[in-house]
Amino acid sequence: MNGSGLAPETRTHLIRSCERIVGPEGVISAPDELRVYECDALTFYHRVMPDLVVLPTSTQQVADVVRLCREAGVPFLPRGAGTGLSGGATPDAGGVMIVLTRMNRILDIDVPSRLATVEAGFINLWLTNAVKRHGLFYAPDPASQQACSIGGNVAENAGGPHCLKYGVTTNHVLGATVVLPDGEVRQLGGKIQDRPGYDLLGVFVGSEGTLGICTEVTVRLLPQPEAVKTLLAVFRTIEEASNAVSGIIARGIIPVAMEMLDREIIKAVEANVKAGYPLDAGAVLLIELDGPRAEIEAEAVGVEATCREHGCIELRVARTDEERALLWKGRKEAAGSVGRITHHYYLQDAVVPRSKLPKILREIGEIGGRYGLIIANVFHAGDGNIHPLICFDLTTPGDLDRAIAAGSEIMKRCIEAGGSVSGEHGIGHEKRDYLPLMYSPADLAAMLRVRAVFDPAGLCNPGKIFPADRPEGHGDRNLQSPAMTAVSDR
Amino acid sequence: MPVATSLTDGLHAIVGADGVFTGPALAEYRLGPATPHAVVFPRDESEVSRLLRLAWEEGLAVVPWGSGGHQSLGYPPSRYDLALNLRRLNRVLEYEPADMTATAQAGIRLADLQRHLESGRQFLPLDPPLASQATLGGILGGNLSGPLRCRYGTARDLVLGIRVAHADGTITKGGAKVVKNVTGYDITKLYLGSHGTLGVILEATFRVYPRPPAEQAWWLSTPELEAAHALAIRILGSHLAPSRVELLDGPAGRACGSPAQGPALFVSIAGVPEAIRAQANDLARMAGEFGSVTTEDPAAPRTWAGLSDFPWLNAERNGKGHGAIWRGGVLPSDCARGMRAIHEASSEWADTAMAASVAHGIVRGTFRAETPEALARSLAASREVLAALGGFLVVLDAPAPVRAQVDVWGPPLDGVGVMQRLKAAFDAKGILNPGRFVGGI
Amino acid sequence: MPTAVATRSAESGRPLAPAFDAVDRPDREGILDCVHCGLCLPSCPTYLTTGLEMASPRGRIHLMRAVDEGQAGISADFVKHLDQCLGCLACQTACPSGVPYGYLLEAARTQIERRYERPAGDRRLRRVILSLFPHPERLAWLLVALSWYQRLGLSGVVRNTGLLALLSPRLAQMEALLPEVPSAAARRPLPGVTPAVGQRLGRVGFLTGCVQRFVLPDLNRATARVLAAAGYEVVSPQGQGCCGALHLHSGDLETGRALARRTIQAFERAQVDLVAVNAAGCGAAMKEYGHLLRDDAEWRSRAEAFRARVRDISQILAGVSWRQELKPVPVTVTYHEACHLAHAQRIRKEPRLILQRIPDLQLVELPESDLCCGSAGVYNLLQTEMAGRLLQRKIDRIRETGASVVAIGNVGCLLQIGLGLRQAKLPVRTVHPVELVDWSLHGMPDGEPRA
Repeated sequence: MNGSGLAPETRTHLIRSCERIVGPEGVISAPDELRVYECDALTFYHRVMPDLVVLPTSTQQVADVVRLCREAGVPFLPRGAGTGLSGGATPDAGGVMIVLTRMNRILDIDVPSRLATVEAGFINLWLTNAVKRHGLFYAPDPASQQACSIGGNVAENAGGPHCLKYGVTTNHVLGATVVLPDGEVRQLGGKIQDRPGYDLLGVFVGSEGTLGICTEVTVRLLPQPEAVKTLLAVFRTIEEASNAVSGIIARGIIPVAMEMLDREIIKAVEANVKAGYPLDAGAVLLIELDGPRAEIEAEAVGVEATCREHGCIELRVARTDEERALLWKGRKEAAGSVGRITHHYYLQDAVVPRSKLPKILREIGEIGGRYGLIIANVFHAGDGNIHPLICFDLTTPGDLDRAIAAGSEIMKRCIEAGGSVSGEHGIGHEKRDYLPLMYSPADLAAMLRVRAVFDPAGLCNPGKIFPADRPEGHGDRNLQSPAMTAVSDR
Repeated sequence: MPVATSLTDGLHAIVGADGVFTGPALAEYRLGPATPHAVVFPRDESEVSRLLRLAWEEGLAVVPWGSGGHQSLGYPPSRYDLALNLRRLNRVLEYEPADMTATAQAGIRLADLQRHLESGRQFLPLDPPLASQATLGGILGGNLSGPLRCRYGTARDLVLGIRVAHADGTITKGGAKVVKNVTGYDITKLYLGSHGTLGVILEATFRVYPRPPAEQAWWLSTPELEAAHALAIRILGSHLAPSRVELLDGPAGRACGSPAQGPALFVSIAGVPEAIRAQANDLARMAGEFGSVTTEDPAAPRTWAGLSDFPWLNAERNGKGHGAIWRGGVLPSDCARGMRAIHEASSEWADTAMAASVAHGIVRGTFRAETPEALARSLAASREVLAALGGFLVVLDAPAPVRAQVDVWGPPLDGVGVMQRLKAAFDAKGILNPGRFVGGI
Repeated sequence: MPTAVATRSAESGRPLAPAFDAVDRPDREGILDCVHCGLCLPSCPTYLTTGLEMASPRGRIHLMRAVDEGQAGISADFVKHLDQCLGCLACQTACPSGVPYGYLLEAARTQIERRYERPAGDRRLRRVILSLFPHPERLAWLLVALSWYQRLGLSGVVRNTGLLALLSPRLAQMEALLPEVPSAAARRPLPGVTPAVGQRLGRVGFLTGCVQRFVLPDLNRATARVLAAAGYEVVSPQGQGCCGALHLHSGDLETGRALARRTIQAFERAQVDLVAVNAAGCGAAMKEYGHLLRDDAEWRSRAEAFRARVRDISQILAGVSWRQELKPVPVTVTYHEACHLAHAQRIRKEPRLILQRIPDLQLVELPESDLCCGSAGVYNLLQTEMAGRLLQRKIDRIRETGASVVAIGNVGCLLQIGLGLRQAKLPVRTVHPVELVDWSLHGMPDGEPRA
């Protein structure tokens, strides 16, 4: 689908002006090239090409492009690596896409203060690689960390398996240089903490590119733990495994990660990477502890005892780095492996209080049964952050609709259980119509007030997060927000 | 000051006669030159909402109030009609140990909340100054923290969701009651540390932590401040997992019970006893590398409480005539440099005592001086030397004549225009704690 | 959402080439295997360099899909972005979904070569290069000419004045790539059979290659010596020529198949147990003969049987227990991973293993070791600018290691990185890992730097 229906002369003006700002090699306007920017990692139903793509190399260039858009009244949106799963980096209805992949330098690493400042396009995993030799690492580790950008992490407030202990992006970002939607450059937060004033940075993180474009980010680095221990606990049922999760927490142990894989996922993983998960298990829990060696040795004893109490039938401890990598490989490639059991799936993201895990998993099983669909589960059990993968076949009539309906029902059950419709993938374009499930009109009005302060003209990544923000007559009307977080459309 | 009958009637109608104080009781609600017309004690959030609605309609300026311990923060209000005391909203609404989350009302005292969480052997890891009195709402509104932030972070890392009454009485929530949530804006962060200028915090849901089975603390003293600081940086960059690492200059150390006369680090490690033992050995070894003597503190909990409160306690001590307390920020690697520069810049006029939470570069201290002028001069000079390091200084409490000479918040920071617009968007009539925050918000 | 199929170019109004035809069509299932997750992005050298998604694996697949579904034609932009792909297959290593990118690329390029009319100059250049490189006899001609040119001392003059660059930047690139041309004696072919030293473990056929046998003859001699020392009888079958790799990468599958059949036949006749290759690109192509000839009823099983015998030299050497003592080679070595070893063949441990077994050799890891150096077959001749940027990056990384030797398991990379080092005046020598083993077995050549 093509852009916003910009007048040709406006488009030409924008192209020429952007070329003056970033140089001709930084502007993409050919239709066959723009096509690759019509979606991010959410490919299924919302595809809209931008009118043009600009690749700035400095904060000043970003500010100049934003000011240009504002003067022309043209919507704009930022994009990093485009690995998001909620359509946040796909235009709602055309406009100028500002791609930050050319801003990917390290600006400063301060080892004694354990801080790093990088440009927004810098890739998450590169940071840990860059500071490894100083005995440090960057904690947030979204599944896409090998590709996703720190700027994108800031926009989405990205999580990851290890955020159970370390927290998500917002807990690690101390400052950001942002271009506000009026083109002004502002420093939010900074290397020095606790400056008086509203926590603008706090509300900016996770605002999905609707409050401005961040161009530089200062993050906190953590010292590498003395020791890491990875355990695999095998259970007959997912219920027992969920109870073990709560039991471990109740014991006062906070593992760095607790990941659950159910029977269907185990099947898929073993067909693909052969991580050595037992095929007859109802669920496996991948538990990782890190910290001072004596501490995790003591915790491991507690974890093992708790798992046994809850009916664990087998417990493995990775003895070497290779064994540890293998146990994790199964988890990391779980979603990729689901192709082995289904042609199409859609990946949900929701959160329930940890103590409600057994209940919600039972309900998901029932929902799957009722709709005649396999729903596979692989998720961050420690956080109660579930990722049901609803399997369906596009070639079977009605299957897609059933999958959407099942997904919607799961969302509602999560809210009823006191949860949230997104734990880490964001709302973006996909889940915006789910927001009223969680927030009252007044709650949303308060958020929109913030948006109006930052972006009174409503040009900065419009059509995202908020249902009321959707301009009529734009975007794809064929599929009314099934609020799908990601659908493999093979 | 006599209160208009119609207003009193209106307040009575909402909170009952026993929920409104007027008269002499108002003296303890005085802020700077101003005293409110009344103090109100709502019992639930709907009463808060109705009170605010009334204030909104009448254009009355409202100061949210908890224990009052930190009301010295900021400018005195530009207008002040009602003190909104939230002490009666003091219940724990939800607590599920297996979820490691709890929801409590704003008026609960932190100490009472901790007692409640004890049932699940958990706690809310916040240790602000004056913790024994402070209320949850006050701690969140001021984003107050103490040495424990080294391990657990601050309110912004712990609060998951919030309920807030807006200037017009509308009640909204932000965030959720689960540990992970990216639905909508993280608007909760805006209210934390907003000093009640955007809305009145009614309740909060936060992450709680298991109370460690044991904790031990040590004094690591060195002849020079810089050596103690270098040791702190070494510890914080190592595999050790300390709960708190505080750098104290000589006077602060002596005030808090350090066995040595000079500068020292006060460090605690929590966990299972065997892990503490192993880390204690490493700690002593590292300390040795820096020529430091390690002494265990047998009364660590009391020392920690004293250390959290020390600027306040120290300011009240007998000595020179006038005291001020302040908080500043620098890079973690600049703590010693900042403390030494402050000492050099202010010692001519004032006695100083300082401590720093090195992990986050937060320095806090007290000055005592003969005259308000000397006190003001030492604060201004200290602010200047911290600014030279890229840092800042906020005056937390000082006598009125000092406040007249030194801006308590300091020069405006980047983004203050956005903050002012936010204030206007959330409180168009300017009735919530008006004029108290940065930029006259 | 699918839109109407564009049938005419928006710029010129000329009819667009229709979507892919049925001959060697990119596999639709393979295209759909890509879920657009983006994990491939930073592994891709061209994306890394440009930050453009068209220059990324998932972008290229997205473009292929648009053409496959008839939403777009084989336009100049499409061709540009497929041409720019190095074919390094780093994306296949990164991909969690098992997308067969290499096959998709090969097929899409075949469609381009058959159905897209390139500008005349471009067409001519590609033809010249493809006809020259894989044919040893034509290369030999060129080399003789070059050796005279070097002997006359003109090369310095020509390089320095930029005369050659003026004439043709691509010819300049080609000339610059070549190291000192070996003497005629050095270029003598290997003996047909080199006997095993001691008891014979097996009979190994040796692919002498099209380029290396002339440009790096020492490498082939060293390879034969080392294999013999390991206990293998080494045969260099007559009639072998180019393995077809360059054609396969360039969209000429038909010639590639013909060369594959010739290669298979030559080694069948030689009756060998294994086929040893010291050029990663050739090894990777030969291991794909089964796929290449999968629709050829007559050759399918022969190709499979052949494929199963192919080994990179490092795979053979990693399993050898040496019969003689390995002598110290006191040098600091860093190892560059050739794309067609690391990504196409997934061989990563073996070369390091054989280096680590050499006494006194200090192996330091090269950052971004598996990032393409820009050589990529004839890529460096066709996409000079991108190749140059990647080479510069590689040289910078090598400089950071402080190594005096960089070990490289592929001929193209040896030439490319050698060029970069010469241009940067960096005193680092390029060698194939097997040459280091040869030094350890048979002594270091005189004049080698020791550190």
